[in-house]
Amino acid sequence: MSYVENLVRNYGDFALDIPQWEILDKGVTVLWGPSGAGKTSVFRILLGLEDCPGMRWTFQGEDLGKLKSPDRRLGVVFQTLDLFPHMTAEQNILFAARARKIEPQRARKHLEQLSSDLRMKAFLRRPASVLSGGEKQRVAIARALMGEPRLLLLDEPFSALDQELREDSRQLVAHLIDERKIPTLLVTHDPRDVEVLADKISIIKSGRIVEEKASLS
Amino acid sequence: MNLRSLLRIGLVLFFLFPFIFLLTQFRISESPDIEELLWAFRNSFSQAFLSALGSLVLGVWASLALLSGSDSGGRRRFLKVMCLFPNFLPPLFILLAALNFLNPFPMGLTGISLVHIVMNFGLVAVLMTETIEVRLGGVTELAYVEGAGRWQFMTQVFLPVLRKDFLHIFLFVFVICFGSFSVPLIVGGIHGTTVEVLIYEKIRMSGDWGAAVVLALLQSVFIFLISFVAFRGPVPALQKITNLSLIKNSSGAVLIIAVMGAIALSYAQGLYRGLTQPIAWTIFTDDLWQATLGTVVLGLSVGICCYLGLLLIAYCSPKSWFERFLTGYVAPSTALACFSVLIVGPNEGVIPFIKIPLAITLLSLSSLYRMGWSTELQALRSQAQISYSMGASSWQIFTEIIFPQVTTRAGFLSGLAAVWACGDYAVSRILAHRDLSLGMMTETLMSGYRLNHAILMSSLIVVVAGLCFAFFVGGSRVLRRKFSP
Repeated sequence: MSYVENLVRNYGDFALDIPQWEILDKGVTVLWGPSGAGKTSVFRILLGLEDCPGMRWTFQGEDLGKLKSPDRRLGVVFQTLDLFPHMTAEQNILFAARARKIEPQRARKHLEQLSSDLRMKAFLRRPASVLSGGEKQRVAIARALMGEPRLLLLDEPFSALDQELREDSRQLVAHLIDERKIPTLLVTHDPRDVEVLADKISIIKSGRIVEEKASLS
Repeated sequence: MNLRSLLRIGLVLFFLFPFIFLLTQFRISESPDIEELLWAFRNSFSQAFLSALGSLVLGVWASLALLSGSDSGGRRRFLKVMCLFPNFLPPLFILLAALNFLNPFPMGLTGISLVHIVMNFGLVAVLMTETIEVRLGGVTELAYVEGAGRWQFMTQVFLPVLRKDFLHIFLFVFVICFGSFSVPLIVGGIHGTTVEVLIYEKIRMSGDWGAAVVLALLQSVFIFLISFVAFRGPVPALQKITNLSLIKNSSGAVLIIAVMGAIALSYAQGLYRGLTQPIAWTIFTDDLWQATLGTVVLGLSVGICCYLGLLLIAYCSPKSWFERFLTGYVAPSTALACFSVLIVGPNEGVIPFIKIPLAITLLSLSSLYRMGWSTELQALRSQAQISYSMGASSWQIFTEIIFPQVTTRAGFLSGLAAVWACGDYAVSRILAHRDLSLGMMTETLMSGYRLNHAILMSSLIVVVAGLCFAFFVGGSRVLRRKFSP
């Protein structure tokens, strides 16, 4: 298990107050809540993009809260996907490998595996700026996984896709997470994400975790 | 402390250098001439007030024409470029055109204000257009649909809602004009001496450094206070296109085209007269070729310094305190910046070719930052954040993500700074004892009332500035291709 303790921060007009919270180290933990509940703030604090003095995040015996963002070794997909538009899909993915100093040969092999799992071969050499929404999303997930993260963090990753593509994408991500056995934290407000992906649901309201329960399925 | 932190502190110290210099040099050894000081302040204040008021009134009028161009992008873009054209040109060209257009030219406060209004009303129009669209877009549509009259809307909504924005924009132009040096130097005459010009005269003419420091301190404090009130942060981005039929008015387009057309025609007429005068070619002396070379050196060195400065800012970002500093930074007045550079080390030989680019970079970099560089970096912030959380080093983020995406913009902005440097005479006049560049030679001719010769000479600046601009725009594209992954 992975425990987050003392995730407390005051933003003036809004406060996060999570004394203790458990994130699964296997399967998908979903942080679910309405807009303005504090999901994105929690997400950014866990990533290390915002300070939260006093927070402890024990993950497999190590306190990630004390580490800088790059040293936490997390894979991330933001709602906006944020592909590097001047690079091809392949260059986007390999950037993550260079960032984590993964040997080129190993990175190549990993890339082949990912492109096969995520059905990306047809557009791997295309510039990121011309990819469709669904293609961009697959590249963003592949890029997050390329760095061999200890935990995958997804912030509303399906929200930019249309309804049909969203369903397909959910299934693909669920399959990938299951196959690779990578623990995942998914931040969402979409009940369908919870239905398809969640192994555990934490409900956040006004900066507090108000309910935690196991998956519906 | 890592390299990035050191570079960040180095940049901040570079920006603050004139102010630090001022504080270290400030000693009241003798009481300044209060009467002279008050007279210069009154002149500065009056011309800045008239300039800001005139720019605001004409700018608001012109902005209604920019609003009416929103349906047809091409027309609006054309008018916008026309509006911003005087800001992209060195002031020398506007001065030459204005002096040629109005004969006799009303030297003194009226003349200074006229030139300032021509230079700034277009900028006000562009700023006002953005403000109106963001603040009043939805309300205007609603009022239009509900059948409100134009007069009713203007008096009951437009003016009351935008009152604070008018004040901010007025103060923004006021600060620019209060610290203006190049315009009062030429068209101020003996009755229009401003604080900037008085500081220059104290240093260059009477060698009274003590009085110059006191004046510079008072002026800096005044500009800082006004800027503090005027600062309003960036206008939020436009959320949706709105129909502004209720307030748009095409008559402002006539104003924009008339003013910019008069500048272009007046300059062309002066050039023609210069070329057809029998003694026109007497300006082509050995000094001219040296000055041309000097202009190339100044243009290129300012461009390179600004290009490196902009990239350095990009490398040191994002950092909230650093970005807040750059956004809130008030550039020192021309006289103060030059004064601080002048007093450090020798000033003979080739030294002015080092000091002039440094001073122009110091004066231009913060304007370039606000002219789209901060927006450019802001747009890449989430890409930088995601790369950082992936474990990429700051060097990898800069070379692979930031640089390939911003180098073209940096090239454009540094090309613009190079154009300003090619047409500079104000900074050069303080830092050099003789005419080193075409800008300085043009100013000498202009001060000697040889206006057509001055315009002819300035046409060489156009050529050199154009080449420098092309060098930076083209060079940055080559670098982008070279460093693209």
